[in-house]
Amino acid sequence: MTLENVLLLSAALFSIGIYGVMSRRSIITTLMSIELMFNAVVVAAIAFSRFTLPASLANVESPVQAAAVRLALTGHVFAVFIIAVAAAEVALGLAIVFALYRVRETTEITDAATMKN
Amino acid sequence: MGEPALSGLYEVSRVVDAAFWLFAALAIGGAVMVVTVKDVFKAAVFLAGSFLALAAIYFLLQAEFIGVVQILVYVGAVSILIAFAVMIIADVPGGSRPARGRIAAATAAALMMAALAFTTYNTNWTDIGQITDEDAIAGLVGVYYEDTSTSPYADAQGGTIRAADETTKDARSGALIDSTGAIGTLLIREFVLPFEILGLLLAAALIGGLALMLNPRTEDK
Amino acid sequence: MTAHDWWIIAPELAAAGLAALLVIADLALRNKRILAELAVIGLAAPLFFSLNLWFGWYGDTTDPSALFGAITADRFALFFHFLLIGVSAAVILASTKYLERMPGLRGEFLALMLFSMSGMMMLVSAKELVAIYVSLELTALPVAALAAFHRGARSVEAGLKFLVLSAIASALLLYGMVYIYGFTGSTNLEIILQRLNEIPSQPDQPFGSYGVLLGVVLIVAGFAFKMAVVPWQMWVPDVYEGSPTPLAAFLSVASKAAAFAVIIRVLYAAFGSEPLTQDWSGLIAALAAVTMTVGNLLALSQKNIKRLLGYSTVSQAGYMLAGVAAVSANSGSAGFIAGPQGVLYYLMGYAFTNLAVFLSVIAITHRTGNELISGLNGMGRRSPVVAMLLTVGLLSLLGVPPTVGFMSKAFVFSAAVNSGLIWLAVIGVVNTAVSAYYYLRIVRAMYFEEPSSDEPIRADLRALAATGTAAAGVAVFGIGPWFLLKLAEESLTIL
Repeated sequence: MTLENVLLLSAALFSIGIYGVMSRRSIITTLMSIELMFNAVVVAAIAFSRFTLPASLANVESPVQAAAVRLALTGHVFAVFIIAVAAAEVALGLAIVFALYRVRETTEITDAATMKN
Repeated sequence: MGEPALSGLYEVSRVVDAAFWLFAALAIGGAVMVVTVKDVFKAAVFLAGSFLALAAIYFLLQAEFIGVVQILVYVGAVSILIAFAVMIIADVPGGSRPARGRIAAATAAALMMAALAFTTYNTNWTDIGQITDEDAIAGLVGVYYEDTSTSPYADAQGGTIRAADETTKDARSGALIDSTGAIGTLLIREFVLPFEILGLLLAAALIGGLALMLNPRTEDK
Repeated sequence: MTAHDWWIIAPELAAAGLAALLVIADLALRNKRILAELAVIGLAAPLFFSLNLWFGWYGDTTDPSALFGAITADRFALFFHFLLIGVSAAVILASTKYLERMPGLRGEFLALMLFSMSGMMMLVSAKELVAIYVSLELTALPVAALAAFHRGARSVEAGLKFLVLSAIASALLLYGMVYIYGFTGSTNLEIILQRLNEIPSQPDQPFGSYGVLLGVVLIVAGFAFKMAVVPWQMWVPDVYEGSPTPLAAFLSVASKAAAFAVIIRVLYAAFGSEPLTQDWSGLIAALAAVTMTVGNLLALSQKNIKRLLGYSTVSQAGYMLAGVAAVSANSGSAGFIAGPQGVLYYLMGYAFTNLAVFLSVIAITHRTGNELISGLNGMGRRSPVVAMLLTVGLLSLLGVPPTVGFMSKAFVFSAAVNSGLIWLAVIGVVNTAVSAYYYLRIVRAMYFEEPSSDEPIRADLRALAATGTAAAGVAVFGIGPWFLLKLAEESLTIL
């Protein structure tokens, strides 16, 4: 398990998410694929937090301040925000999907694409 | 520095390594099933499985807090929400048919994968092994004590980190500091602004979702 | 938080507080017709706090940075605060009539719009990647809900499309941000700049390292959605056509301005050192050329006025990007800010122009219910005032002197020439000539085509006032651009 390995896992998840977003017609599968992409980003953020040099420790003179060490967890905080925002996004997305279902009785993107000129 | 007592702290044991590859395979396998399987409900189940495998990987990466959050939020809330949506909408029999652009999607995904993999292996990442300060390493792996008596910044910056005594220096299993507590401190200090904005965001999403769910009293134009 | 922190974030807090207040007022008030007026009056609070920070009346505002360097109230941010507040006020004023069609949801509509505005205000002031991301989402989620507000099929689909595409753009943006964080070890723009200078760059790799290259490309790709730039041009007309027109006006002006603000800040504050600037300048220049061309070509064949305006905003974003790309010399030298100065001037002028156009279109289509260009036939006779205001706006979009649109294009293109991007300026001028076809087609329809009926159309007075102000701005700042230029220059002292 090196930085490169974990980043490769993240890249694979992200690419699978892109494939899902572009190839599926059901809007719910699209939302799931988007969640995969967000999770890929979280994996990368955690990996960077674990394996790379935090800027707050790049030039420290001993003795090290507790605040500088805490900032090594910036990647974790990043992940917390990504997860929270993604959850809100899914909730709103499903609300709109329900609204669409009430109007159209379908959840397929192409069928609903009435706006083409 | 580079004394043997500390230099091995960031190396990963064989067991952890094997576990990583196992869970990585599970996560990727689950993800592939999500985007290929026909039945939307099954896809939601695979999604939950993939999320669970990722939570295990977060634990291996010493991110316990994120691992727990992942299980609570993604496996517990998001997957269930999606499963509910699938059941209520009852669109399942029709399933999720692939659109016509499957080849284009595969090409885009392959290109993205190639670009990301190339970048990953050709970038001069600044490795955490470059930290030579013994106190800094001790702080990162959680074998330190905080000296608030000598620091001139004691109240504003937190105390001075000092490596603990010789015996604890050998603690190879030390977590990436006390991550949960430190994340909490970061959230209300350095990242308090995004934290506040997040509160607004959730309120706005709630109002938006509620407004959409209310009985439509407007006519379409 | 110290008193200083409170003063710095007061404008954003006031905007968010106003949004929350409107939700409560909607429940408490019996007469809901005054909600829009209440919102416009309430916007005085964030305006006051922004003015306070600009002039330094109360509180200690000498240090614009607050909350551990996550937010700043420098002139650049305040410039955009004024723009955003002004645009929101105009849109709300102009949409009062429109809001009467959805009686139960007026409070929610206004509140969501103001939530989105407070997100934009934070977006232009944030100096830290996590804060930038979260405020970007705060601008996007309410908009997705608003786009679906009509509950009709087209409206809901517009909301869904916006939400899905915005989520994909966010994922790309986040990946870029995380790569930059991984490479530099920080999410603070200033520390990123400092670390990029410290880390030895690989001379054989673009941007000094492939990691930075990928990070910047993905970040630009993510923001491109908000700026409505290729390859995201497809969402623009669909969302504009399907969503409530006031929202389209809000999106096309406020959202775009905030996105340009944040991309200028990120590129100049975090990647503003030589030779990085030359690397991303080429990237942005290519994007600008493609965007203006694609936007124009797609606009040519449109029949629906809202779709046409949607593609028109795409090509306008292309012209503005040319200004972003025009980074010529080292920071500190005289020519350095010419490009961004042009962009800021362009954005301010574009706000007046596009508001004049959109608000006139709202005034007309609200009455006729016909959104086709042929629906505007004979408007020169049926509604002479609105038709005149719309014509002023269209001429400015085209860039005819002495409108503000002409001056904007002149500044942006000359900045591009001065920084060696002559080819880009040539493409821009050619595109301007092409765009004459579809802008003037609308003018011709209004003045030279026979109307379907002779019944005059009377516009709402408040809407007319907002539209008139915008059109007056187009003329005034086109003839006398010095005030806006000075304002833009002063706002850019941070670069």
